[in-house]
Amino acid sequence: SSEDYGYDYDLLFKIVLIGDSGVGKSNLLSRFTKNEFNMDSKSTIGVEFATRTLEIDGKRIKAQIWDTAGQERYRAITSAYYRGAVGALIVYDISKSSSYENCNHWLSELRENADDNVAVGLIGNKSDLAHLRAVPTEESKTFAQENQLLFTETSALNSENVDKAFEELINTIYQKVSKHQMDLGDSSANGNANGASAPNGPTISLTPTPNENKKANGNNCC
Amino acid sequence: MLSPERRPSMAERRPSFFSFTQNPSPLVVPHLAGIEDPLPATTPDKVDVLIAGTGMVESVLAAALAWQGSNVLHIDKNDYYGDTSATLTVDQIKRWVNEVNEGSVSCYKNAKLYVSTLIGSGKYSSRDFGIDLSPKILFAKSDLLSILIKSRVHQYLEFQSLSNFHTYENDCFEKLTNTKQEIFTDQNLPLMTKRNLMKFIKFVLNWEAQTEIWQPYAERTMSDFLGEKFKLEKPQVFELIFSIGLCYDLNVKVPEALQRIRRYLTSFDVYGPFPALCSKYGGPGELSQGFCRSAAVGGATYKLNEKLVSFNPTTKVATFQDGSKVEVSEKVIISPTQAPKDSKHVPQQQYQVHRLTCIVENPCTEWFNEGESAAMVVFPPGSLKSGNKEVVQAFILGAGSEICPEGTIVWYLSTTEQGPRAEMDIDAALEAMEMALLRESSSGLENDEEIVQLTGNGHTIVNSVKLGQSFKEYVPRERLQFLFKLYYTQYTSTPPFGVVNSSFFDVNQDLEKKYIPGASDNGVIYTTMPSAEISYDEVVTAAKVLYEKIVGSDDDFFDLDFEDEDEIQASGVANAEQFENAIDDDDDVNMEGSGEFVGEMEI
Repeated sequence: SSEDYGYDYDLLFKIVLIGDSGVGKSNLLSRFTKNEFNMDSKSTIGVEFATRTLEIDGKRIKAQIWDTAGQERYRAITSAYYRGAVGALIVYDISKSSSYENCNHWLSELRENADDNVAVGLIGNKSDLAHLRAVPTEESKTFAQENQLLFTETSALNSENVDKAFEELINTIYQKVSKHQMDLGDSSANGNANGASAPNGPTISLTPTPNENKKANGNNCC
Repeated sequence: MLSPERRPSMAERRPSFFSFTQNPSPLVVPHLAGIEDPLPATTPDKVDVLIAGTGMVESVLAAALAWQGSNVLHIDKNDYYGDTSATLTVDQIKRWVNEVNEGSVSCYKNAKLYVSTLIGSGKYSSRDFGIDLSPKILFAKSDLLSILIKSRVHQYLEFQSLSNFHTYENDCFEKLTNTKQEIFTDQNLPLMTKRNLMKFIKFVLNWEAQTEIWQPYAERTMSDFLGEKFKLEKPQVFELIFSIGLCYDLNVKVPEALQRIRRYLTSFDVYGPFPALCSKYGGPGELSQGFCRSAAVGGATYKLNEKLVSFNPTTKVATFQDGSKVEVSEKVIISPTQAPKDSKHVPQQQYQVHRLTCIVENPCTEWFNEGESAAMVVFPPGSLKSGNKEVVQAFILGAGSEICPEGTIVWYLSTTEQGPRAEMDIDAALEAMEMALLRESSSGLENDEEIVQLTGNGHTIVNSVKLGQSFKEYVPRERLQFLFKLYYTQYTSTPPFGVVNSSFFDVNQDLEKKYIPGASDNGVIYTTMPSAEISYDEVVTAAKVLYEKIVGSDDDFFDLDFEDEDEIQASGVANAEQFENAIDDDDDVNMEGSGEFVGEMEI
């Protein structure tokens, strides 16, 4: 079946969530991925990253969204976390100014470790806490513009703008990737997430039952 | 006290867990279990296990303990993950070399570094490179691979195949004849040799059971055994021992060598026509980060830049350089490189591993199989100008592995030779590689017969008149551009082939009972430094032995099962069919579930 070959999607985007502890990254992830309307019932392919498949331009795009697993607490996120990410969301809590101030740190850590072409969104989460707001929307908007980031305020609690924030990012990545593929006259549309990176050798997938002589050179990286 | 029973894991302790499953054993981890914030509001003031150092063994151990249910605090004194297994950028290497030479990194000495100005201020940046301190390859059928799948850490990683194993002999690089088909079709092999090789391969897949064949040679060398018992000639003996077995010298004992040769053969064709895999973006450095992430998902707490100052075995309190303290209810596990000041129990690291890592500005794709970016070159004893007694291994990675940019290549050379000879051997191997490469790159001109002629012995001669310059001038112009050269000596307590011997940790156990007044490390257990072994084979064994010391038994070492789709839990456990494909491409073998492969000779 096509599933065995990992072709239940046309493109796979790895997206990482970063930001201080307690800003609601995990809730954003589960809010976005558990409200599924995708045909893929097996949306979770890891215990701490989850997927949702969207359709853009008739292409099935599988967004694989990674959470920090708590390693952000002491700023000990592994550099491997950023490998192959084509998108990132930097999340802060609108009711906690320190979490907004630390976005600078997260942005520079991202720039240091991720691919240069990574698409980045800034998310002010917990918009339902308007009465406790500590970070003015305008200020964040300016910061986002200065650093060429997408910007949305969301509430993982009442799900306001959650889909919008992820979809905007995924759309931006898609535009980047398709532009890149056009530039290259690229023909490989079969699921290599790293549309933006250098030509790679084929990757071996360890998950499928080995030894059926079927794929040794499958190009699906997950 | 140790509790031999299995404690509920972090995931099991969560209230949501039981709504997902009725049966707590084997552990089934529900979807998104790890993303529920598993951390307490403050730094834990009490943990079950403290681990210092985020190298391979420590990281596998941390993940195993976290999933078993232990509360783990995992720290590293560096600001990066990996410790002795780290994958570093060029800037990080520069700092590391300085620290080694200042004496602040124990277990390493004699670090010498050359970095071209092209890196940093020129066309390459420091982070274009990921240099492994102890590079490794992963055999397709190995204990680590099955743990990678079981723990799902493989999902954090990308792997590529490694099928080219070259043996350097008589000034040239022979590609390995390793499949039955290749043996059959190899025009250069005499019929008798083919027959003997096949006989040996048939034997080695199930060697343990055939004691009558190898037992008489148990205390003798592998080359005696292959020569006398299987009538194999030197080239085949060398290929088997050094390229397939990746052994270090001719004195290797028969059981060890058989084990290692079988490792290669049974790994072949498990995932495709290759025996080994390499991880992208770096080797052990990436894998250890994957296991650390897994441990974090399982509830472990991570801190970098955290240095252990002392552990008091009476109060069980560990103190860190930043003044913080934690009470450790069970064990403190420390990598030798992370030993606190005034430590007195660090095991002696008496064996040297000499390493030279080079980055060359040349794609050198000649070394690789099509579509691959990795190769292994082995220089057997006596093959080098230096008259080497020990093997020099060169592990080569190209840009496709994403550890270096397009147009460059990384050579990892290492030897188990001890003392000053080692550097001579490594230099000789480097020179041999350099010469071979220059020959290869000048052969690009071969099409123009007027410029390039082949001499009788295969060397290319360049028609200097045509080129408008003398031959002498031509050679320096073609000299290889080295972007980076790093030489260092690493020390380890693990001798070559000490991989599966768990008694190395008993040294540490004895130390637990000894109390030295004034020592900052009474009561701690030290892990081992990476050995010279080019495969990951020692890692799981070491982690398992340590796990057993902490938990009381290794029965539930990674005994977990993630709630999952229809995906089959591919275990790396011996599977008869894999033996079949290991050396056989045709259907002439009748397998009846036995590990014994009996290939029909069809000569």
